[in-house]
Amino acid sequence: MSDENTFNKDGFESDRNVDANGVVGARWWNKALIEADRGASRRSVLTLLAIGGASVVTCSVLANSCEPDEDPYVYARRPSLDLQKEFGWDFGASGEALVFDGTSSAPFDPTTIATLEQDLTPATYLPLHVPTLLQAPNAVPRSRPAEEMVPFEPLASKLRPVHTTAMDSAYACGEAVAKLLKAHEIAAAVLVDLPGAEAVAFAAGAAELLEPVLLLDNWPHPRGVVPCHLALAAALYYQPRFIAARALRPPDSLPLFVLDRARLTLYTDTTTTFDNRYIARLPSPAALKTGAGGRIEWLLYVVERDPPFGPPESEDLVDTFLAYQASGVPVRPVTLEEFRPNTDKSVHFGQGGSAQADVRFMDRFGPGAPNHYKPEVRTAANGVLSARGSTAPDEFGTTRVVLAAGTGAVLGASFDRRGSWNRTGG
Amino acid sequence: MRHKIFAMELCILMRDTTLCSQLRDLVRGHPARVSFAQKWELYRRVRLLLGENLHLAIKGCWDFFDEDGKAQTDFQMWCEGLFTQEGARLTPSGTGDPGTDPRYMTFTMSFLMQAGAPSVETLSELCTVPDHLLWKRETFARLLENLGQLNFGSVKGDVIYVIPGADGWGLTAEDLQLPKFHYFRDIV
Repeated sequence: MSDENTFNKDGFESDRNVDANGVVGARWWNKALIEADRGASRRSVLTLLAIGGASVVTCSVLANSCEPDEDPYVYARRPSLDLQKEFGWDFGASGEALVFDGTSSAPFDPTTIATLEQDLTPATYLPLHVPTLLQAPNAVPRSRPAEEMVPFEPLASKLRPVHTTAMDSAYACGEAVAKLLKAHEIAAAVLVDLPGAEAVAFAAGAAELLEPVLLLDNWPHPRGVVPCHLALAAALYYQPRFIAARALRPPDSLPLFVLDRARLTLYTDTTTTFDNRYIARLPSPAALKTGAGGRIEWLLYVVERDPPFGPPESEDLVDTFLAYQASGVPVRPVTLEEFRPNTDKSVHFGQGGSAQADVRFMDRFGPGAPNHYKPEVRTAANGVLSARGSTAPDEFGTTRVVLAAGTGAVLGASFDRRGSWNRTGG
Repeated sequence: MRHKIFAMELCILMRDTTLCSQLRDLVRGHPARVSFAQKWELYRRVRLLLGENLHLAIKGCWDFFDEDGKAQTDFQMWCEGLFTQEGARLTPSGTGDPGTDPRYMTFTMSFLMQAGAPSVETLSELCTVPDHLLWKRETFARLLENLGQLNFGSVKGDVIYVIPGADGWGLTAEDLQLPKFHYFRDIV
């Protein structure tokens, strides 16, 4: 609560405290219930508050009364990233830990986090770069929620590098793709759409020949739907590699766009989860075509594997892929499995460099090679998003917050039962 | 208004002064005027600290009473425990040694609640525990966890205190043998 008026409606007031060597403590009384006990009626119904900001998409108002379990709070949804930028990356979950998969025994100097954004910012394709995720570690909140009492700790203090076998595999595939494209002078941009850490690893593997352009547009959160801290942790692991590769990379390198496949993850438990999902912000067809001096002829779209049901592309890419194709930049999907040595040897491309692999790669992607791929427009029945994939439903990427009814100040996140207000939340 | 009461007190072996300091800081840092949410947050952090250190709790007690008169009387009794400093030492006891000359702290919290409120009734149900489970560590853990469901809009008064109030004033094993601590049960 941010002001005296609010307190006068509800809250506790201490009447006695002891602070001695032997004991420290205090007693508080709930003013509203004390008044109620005296027969004072304080029933009043709050009027629906017009809460500022177009970002509020839903709200409910509760009666402010002495009835049990009725609290003077207002609920609203706000864009999750806005909340994090305003109140801190761990909004509503201060002190809760991030969970890291994988470990790294390599020496790690935490001070390098300060330069992570700079080290991964592209030179040639800067206008297409989405720096959001890289800005999270050192970001400082503009304010804190009115009810927050835990001191802020920057994300940087919680991060560490991670390394997994899946990252190794993705790294090798990235290296192979870059070599094959380079060897055959194929003018294709690459879009890698893998789980965050693997996507970053793929980019690290290709970074000597292709310029990584991150499109990671969210911030980590201890309760985040998207575990994007793993992408950051992978970026930390490969940070020396990115720095070294940049020095070796030809200045006319084509772009390699990096997406986190988990960005649209379905979830159901809205009471305990922070929705840090996002819609990919791909370059427009015009930007893609002109971005490399008009050299980009098509887009290689890299996914983990062909899903057993449905198309390979993520739903939010459909409209953009269709636009690319309409503007003469075809999209061609390829899976990581096709680069792995244990895949059927008659079809896989290996790690590049073998004659057979080169032939197979050119058969698939060389000049004149057929391309039957067509993005599949989702319907309401099979889509995570709205009917057309590039538009998010109203509550996508938003988090339910509790506002002070009197002031509209954000008190905190409406997670689980973290607060007396939550017992009444619908 | 009719009342119900919940109270819990834990006697915890002090491996060092960390936990005691943290709890004291929470109590001292809790403002004289607080919102329901601030109150809830205080107890969230208390529950977190106690839960993490519950393995060090050697003795304790908890109770929940439905009867209005007893609830009010008992709440006053728990408050008097603070105001009279009944459990506190009158002289320093030194830092001791966790292995050979241990020191103990106590943490006490009590809520006088509004009967009939949904979260109070939920807590009431959770406190219906078979006798053989009353003093199990798991029972304390479960109660601590479920206190998170309490709506402080339905709590009329609360009292919270930590013994000792300063380092070097912890309770000794001899102190715990005094009659004033006989209500403590061994946690098993």
